[in-house]
Amino acid sequence: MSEYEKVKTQYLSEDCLRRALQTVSAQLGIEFEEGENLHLYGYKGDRRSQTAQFVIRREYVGAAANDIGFVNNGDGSYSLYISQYDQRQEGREDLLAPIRQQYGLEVLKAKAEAQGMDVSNVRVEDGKLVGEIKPKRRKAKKMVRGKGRRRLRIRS
Amino acid sequence: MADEQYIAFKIGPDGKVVLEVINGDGVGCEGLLEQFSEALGEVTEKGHTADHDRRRRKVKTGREKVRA
Repeated sequence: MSEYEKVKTQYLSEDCLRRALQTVSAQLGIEFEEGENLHLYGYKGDRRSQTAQFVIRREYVGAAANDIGFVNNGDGSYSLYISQYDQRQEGREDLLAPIRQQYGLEVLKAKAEAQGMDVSNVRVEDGKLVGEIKPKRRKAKKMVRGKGRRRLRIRS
Repeated sequence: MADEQYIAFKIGPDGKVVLEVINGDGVGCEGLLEQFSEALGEVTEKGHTADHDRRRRKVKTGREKVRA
């Protein structure tokens, strides 16, 4: 072991955020909405002035919860919009933590693919998503005799 | 046969990611690690694990002995 880096995840990729939301939604049995300017609603059903591109409606967030949204910052990155009330509620992390972790995994998968590498052996250890990034194993090419052989003519 | 070099990762529930090169002593892995961490977000800490420092110190001590 030698070199290491610690990174605080930021939502920099729309594709990875979308894939993370799709995966977590399927895992938790919830739904999310995607659109240009989706209004966020409060716990009483009141429409808020804030809009977002990805929204998890309050019925999936928890009891007396407000909508949670991912807002496009205009530079391709996204910020999480969550009310102060919901930030204080313990149960909200059951939803937000898997999204953060899955997003990180999706970024690593996309980057690994671009580098000709694979993400493998993904598992959960002490609440952390753990895995390995390794170079892809190349399949050995079969030797075909006869085709493409060059003939050398030696003139004397 | 040399051990396979790869990157191990841990993604915490708070969104903090630790990337670590396993079996890597070369300089080449530094650039690769940076590319992965830049895609994830803000690098808050980088360095070498304790066993790497110990290995480096050992080499230094050896040189000093030779000079003496």
